Amino acid sequence: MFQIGPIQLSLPWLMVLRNLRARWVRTVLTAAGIVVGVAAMVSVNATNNSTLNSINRFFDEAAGQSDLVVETAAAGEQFDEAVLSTVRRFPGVVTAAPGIVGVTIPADEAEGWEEQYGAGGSIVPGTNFWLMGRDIAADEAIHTYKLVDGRLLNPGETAYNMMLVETYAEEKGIEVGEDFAILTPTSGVVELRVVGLIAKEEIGISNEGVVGITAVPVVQELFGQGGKIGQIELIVDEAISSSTAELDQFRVALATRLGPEFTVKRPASRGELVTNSLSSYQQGLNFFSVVSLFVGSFLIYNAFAMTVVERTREIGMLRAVGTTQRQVIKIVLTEALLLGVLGAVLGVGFGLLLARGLVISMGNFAGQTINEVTATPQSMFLSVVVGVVVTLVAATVPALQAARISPLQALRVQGSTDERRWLTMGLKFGPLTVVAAILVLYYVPFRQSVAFYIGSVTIFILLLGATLCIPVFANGLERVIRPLTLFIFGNEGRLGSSNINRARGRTALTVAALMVGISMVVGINGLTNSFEQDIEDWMDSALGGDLFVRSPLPMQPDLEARLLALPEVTAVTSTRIVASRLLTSSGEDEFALFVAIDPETYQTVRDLRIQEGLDVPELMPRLAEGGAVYVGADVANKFDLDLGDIVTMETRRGRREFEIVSIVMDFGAGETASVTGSMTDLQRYFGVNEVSSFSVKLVEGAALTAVSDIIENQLGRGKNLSVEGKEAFEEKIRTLSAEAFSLFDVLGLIGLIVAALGVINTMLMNVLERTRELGGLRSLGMSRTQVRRMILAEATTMGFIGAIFGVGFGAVLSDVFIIGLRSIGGFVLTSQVPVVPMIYSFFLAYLVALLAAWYPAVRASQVNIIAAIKNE
Amino acid sequence: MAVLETIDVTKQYNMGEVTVSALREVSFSVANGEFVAVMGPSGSGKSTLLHLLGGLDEPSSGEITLAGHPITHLSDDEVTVVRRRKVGFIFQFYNLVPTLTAAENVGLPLLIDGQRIEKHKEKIGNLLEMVGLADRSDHKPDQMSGGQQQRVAIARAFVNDPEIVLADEPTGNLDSQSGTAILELLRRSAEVLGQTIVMVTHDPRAASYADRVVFLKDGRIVQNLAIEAKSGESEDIRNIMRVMRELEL
Repeated sequence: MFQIGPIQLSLPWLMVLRNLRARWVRTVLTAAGIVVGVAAMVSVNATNNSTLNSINRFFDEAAGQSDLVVETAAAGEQFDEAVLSTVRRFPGVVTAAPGIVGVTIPADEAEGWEEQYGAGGSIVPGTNFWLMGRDIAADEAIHTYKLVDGRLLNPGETAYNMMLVETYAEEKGIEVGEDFAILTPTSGVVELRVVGLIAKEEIGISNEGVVGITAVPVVQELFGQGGKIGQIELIVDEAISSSTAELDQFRVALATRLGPEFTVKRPASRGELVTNSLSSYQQGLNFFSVVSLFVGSFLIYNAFAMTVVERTREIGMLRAVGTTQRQVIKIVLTEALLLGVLGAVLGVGFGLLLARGLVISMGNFAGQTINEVTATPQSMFLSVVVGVVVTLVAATVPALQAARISPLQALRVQGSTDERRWLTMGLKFGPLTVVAAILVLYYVPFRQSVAFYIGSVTIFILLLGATLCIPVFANGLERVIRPLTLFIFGNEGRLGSSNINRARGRTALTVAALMVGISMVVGINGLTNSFEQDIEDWMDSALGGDLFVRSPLPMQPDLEARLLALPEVTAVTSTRIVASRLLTSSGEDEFALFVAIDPETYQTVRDLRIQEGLDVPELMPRLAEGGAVYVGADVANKFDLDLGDIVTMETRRGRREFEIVSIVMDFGAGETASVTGSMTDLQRYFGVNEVSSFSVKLVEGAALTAVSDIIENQLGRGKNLSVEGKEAFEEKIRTLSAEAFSLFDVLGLIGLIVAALGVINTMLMNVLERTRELGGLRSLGMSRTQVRRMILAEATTMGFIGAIFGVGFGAVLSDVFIIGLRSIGGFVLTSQVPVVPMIYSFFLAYLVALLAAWYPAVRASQVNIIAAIKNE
Repeated sequence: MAVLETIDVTKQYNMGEVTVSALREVSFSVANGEFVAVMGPSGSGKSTLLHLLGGLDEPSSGEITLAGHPITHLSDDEVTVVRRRKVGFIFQFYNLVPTLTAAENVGLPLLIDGQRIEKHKEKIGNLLEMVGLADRSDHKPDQMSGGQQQRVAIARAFVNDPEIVLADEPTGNLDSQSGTAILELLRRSAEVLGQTIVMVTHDPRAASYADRVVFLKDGRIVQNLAIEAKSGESEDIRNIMRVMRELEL
């Protein structure tokens, strides 16, 4: 024990603390590596959790005190309010409150209205105005309206009065006592008197607060839904609701009583749809965050290996004066532990900060405002543990190396590492590991439940194999790159470039860090490109048309004829989408969309790429016959549907069966099941006649804006038609997908930052180790600038080799990820070779290496010549 | 004519609150083709003098001229170019670049000067032959003995036809046989090539190969001794040792 002031320190701690302080740059860099790695993991985790929590909380909060909700099986349909009395009479029901929602827009937004899309093509909340019809008396037990101004609606009040959410009223500049004008399908523009403002809490958070609360009959009247309601919220007897099992039993009993047309569910379960559609995406994020930590572990290993080399004499001396091997290991591992804890704790904090930024992107993508970052203490603790364990594992080999240092080595001039070992190990295991991992990834099928984990582990093994390959190929690659280095850095480039063969182990790990960083960038870009290419293809064929006509209110089919009557219009086809449920043959019951097209006109405007089954000319007549649908390849894959299979849909007329007659290449709407059938079937089974959108094809050379104006202002007067050009629509979708991938880009960036830290660390170590040589070169007349150029040449050569490996493995990564998405998420993507990112990756790696080596280069140029040449 | 001249050169170091004078008003000159050995005990300032002569450090006061040009008060870049083109260094620990071959190490100053090494193949070959390593030109430092490495360092010091070669204990890390070979090489280069050399040493035998020995004590030149045989003769060595005793070095 050593007594320092009031503190007693044991040998390891004393050595560790002194060493960490003396080599503070390395300490900072190593800790930064751990911080960034852990932060990546924490931020992704926290972002994912916050999103899920936020979605669940949203549904919970909006549901108030209700235990269960009754809706139609075909989601989003209205039903007869007589059901309400059936529900109220059902034993165990304490309160049942009906609700109906009229979706519209405020009259002042009629012009220039555009829908905003979120994940999987869902409409972003807050784009439309929801007029919610509530039974104020029944609501007393279920919802709390927190009054901010004016008064609450009275039970039984049926005048055109409403309560607005305070924030929305403020945004609109409406005060209590004023009228608020909305569009209605039956009565045109209608004004409702605002009698009170409520807080954006509880039910007020629905649709981002863009809601007005009025009585049920008002909505029924304005939206032509006389006698209909959309849902019933219930409170059941406490004896039942206090037990999950009993509540579930009650739920099933009530569902049975109401019949197959209805579903009874827990309020929060409505969030599942959104959360399910995010799961693959979140798995992807998790994967890349773990990759970042993996790069971080390289950095940590490298840093500790360097400390050991640098301290060979010191450790030799310690061994000479009687320190045991065990004590040496303890010193190194104690240092790792200290740095690991420090880095991981800071990493958690930094990760939470990062998550604050990431949730904004995620929120936009998921169509959900995420107000706070939620991370459980357990998950944070786990992240700290993972960070510390990774650090300790990475430091174990250097610790063992340190223990092997003999006391005699203290007397040698320089510490030496067994560089040949790296080469031998690389030759022995490198290529073999890579080949084995690739074979496993491409040719061994796994059960879906384990595919993600086995796939991830195999990718790590692949990256490890690639790291082992680096010493084998680095020499040859250096020679290939040398002319370029000579061209850029002149004679100093030659000196710098050849230096990479000096510490093979260190070079291998630095190149590996760059490789993983670059492969993340290439892999992520490959994935993005494949997505975007598929979206483009889908937009080209499926969208067809030059203009899309939509409206916040349902449109009547007769508009088609009037559109066709315009001289500039050559063809029009209509689409209607309704929400429903799909029952697969395996008994799964999924939320699904029934997309109805008009088989007669479809081909005149749009197109399909058939993968299997009937070709378009046969498909359309078959759809027209009825009872037939086609599905996208991704949906078929995800729900295990084959050509000729029968799918059952919940319709207003009960369950109906449809035969799958074609499978098409499609860019699926997220992970929501959707089947496409004919407009006739829609009318027949779903009783829906209105149209969601018209695709319009114009004569060649027609002026897009002029025609849009005519449709909006002449045909659409009073109907609030919104006309969007194909390009504008495509742009929206592109923006959306760019938003979705921005999170991955952040992780790519983190990978690069860790790689850059690795380069700084290595180059600093190289500079330190070669101080005497640098002094010698300076004494021979090498200027400071030349020294800098030499160091930069060395780093950029490593950058280039890293890019070569990174680009190769990035392509594999992207390909494997696409295959993975197919097997796990059901996305069918056509793999695209990310050529452009591959090319710019070289520049990126070069730039990262250049920037990262700048400080070490400056340090090298400032070496004190006299001190350096005296330095033994 | 003097190739190198120092006038009242003083070098002081600030060690915290204490100022240490390493050299005090040293004035001396080295004639063209002269081989001068600088001797003195540890801390006498001999290495400091060598560093100042080579432009590795700047005097606190005084002037140093190399081939008629003052090298004091130059910028770092300017003095670097002086070192590159006019000075050749030989170190105790050779300081060869381990990734380069013997021939490449010899050509290093040319490489640093932005020249194409291929153009000077013949010259490098001749220098390697002169130091007796013509057959080792493709060997890397770790494939050569200490003596061989030092001979590469000597060839490297000569490659840019320097005005002066500065050697800091060139035999300090070698066995006596290799050391003798190095000293004979330096002597021959002074005689045959007319190369001006200043060598710092504390070994009387090494100093006996020079034309003249300059003795330093406490930062001042205290004695100049001309050497007769200039080839490691016992008589010369005895003379040097006698002076050292007299001066209590």
